[in-house]
Amino acid sequence: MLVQTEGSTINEVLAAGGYVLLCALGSLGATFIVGFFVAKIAAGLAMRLREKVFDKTMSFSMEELGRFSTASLITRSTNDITQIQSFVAMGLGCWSCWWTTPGKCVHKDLDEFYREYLAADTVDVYCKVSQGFVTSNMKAMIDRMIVLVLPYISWDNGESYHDPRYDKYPSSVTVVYNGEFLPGEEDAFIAYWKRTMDMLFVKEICIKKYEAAQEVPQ
Amino acid sequence: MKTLIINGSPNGRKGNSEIFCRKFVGGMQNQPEIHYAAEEDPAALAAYMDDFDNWLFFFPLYVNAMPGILKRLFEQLHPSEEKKVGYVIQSGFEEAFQSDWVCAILKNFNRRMGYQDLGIVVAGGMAGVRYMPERMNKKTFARLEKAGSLYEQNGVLDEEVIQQFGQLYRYSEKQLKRIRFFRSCSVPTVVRKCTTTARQVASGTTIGMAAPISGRPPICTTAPPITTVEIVS
Repeated sequence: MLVQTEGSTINEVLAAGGYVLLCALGSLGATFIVGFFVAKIAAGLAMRLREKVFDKTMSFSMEELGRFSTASLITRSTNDITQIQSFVAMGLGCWSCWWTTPGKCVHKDLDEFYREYLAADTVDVYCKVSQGFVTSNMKAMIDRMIVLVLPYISWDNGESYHDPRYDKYPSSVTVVYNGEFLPGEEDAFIAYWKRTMDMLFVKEICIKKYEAAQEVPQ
Repeated sequence: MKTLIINGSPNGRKGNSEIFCRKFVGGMQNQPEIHYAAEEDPAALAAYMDDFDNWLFFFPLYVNAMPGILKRLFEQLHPSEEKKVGYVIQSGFEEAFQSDWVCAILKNFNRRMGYQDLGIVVAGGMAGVRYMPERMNKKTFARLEKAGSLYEQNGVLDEEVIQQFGQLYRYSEKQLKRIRFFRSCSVPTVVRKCTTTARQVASGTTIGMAAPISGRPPICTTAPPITTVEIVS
């Protein structure tokens, strides 16, 4: 009926050839689509992995972070994951080891503090005043509380702030301070505490002088 | 005029503050010494600092103020009428107003100690300086070098440079929209566990600043005042 068949017309040949061409094009289209989804899945996985690795890295304390070199951390989160991505695109996948990263906190004492802090509804802070501000020890403590929020940033009310790491934070914090101020210092001191507690998602912030705290009726 | 630069970063030679110091002195003919609060005994460093007329502190913003390690050094310093002190603060947050609290504290500190103010530079959005390629930091570094050379000429941190660094004081609504848009494009699946509700409640606390920072608008207190804040003094 076609090429080698007597009496077939060129139109019939073209029509059949057209179907073949159509199939080839269809196959091409399907390949594109498959490629798209494979890439999407592999890239999606890689992204999730990177996110996990990044999150884990960010959860490290400064001390732990100091034990890994920056170069190594970057390689872990870029090159290694690209390798996995290419494996997955090829149809292989063994990434379960990436979900667990070594590293337990060395500072057991502060671990406990974090736990206790987060478990509490009300926190009382007693602090000394040093040069019109908190003492260096207290400041170092506050510095280390930054791990209670995420390194991610959100925006609200014209400013950026860290996202919360936990669902619940102490809702009420009372700061009782003891010490002498020069004019103007007390306001800055109070403003500092308010701001810091505000960043830690504390809803009720009360800041008062030590003597005054004694007078509060029971 | 004998100047000493003090790097107040807990990261010492590895941090962004180190880059800041280096670029700053890079703009100067006679490069001053750099000392590290993280490496030296605070009492010894404070004693060493006595030999210098001007001190420039470079440090990162740690939870709204100077790092604890720098505060430790501050506690070893003595009041003096002759010393002149300048500060260069770099923060991860982009907006300069995030450093208002520390600026107020530093000004109070200067007043308490009798130090003369050489100016405070607040550089925001500096979290990635260490990792970014040179050309992305070009503007920042050029400004720092300029600040260094102008400091050498005039003996103060240049007002114009301070203004340039503190340009982004607070985001406008338009900027926020743009930021959110780009964020939503580049990291579509990062689900922010953000409880804006918690934040909105928290942001109700108004902030009373000690003294407005010169050259910048006073802190915005548009959020409704919350009643739970109670100051007994």
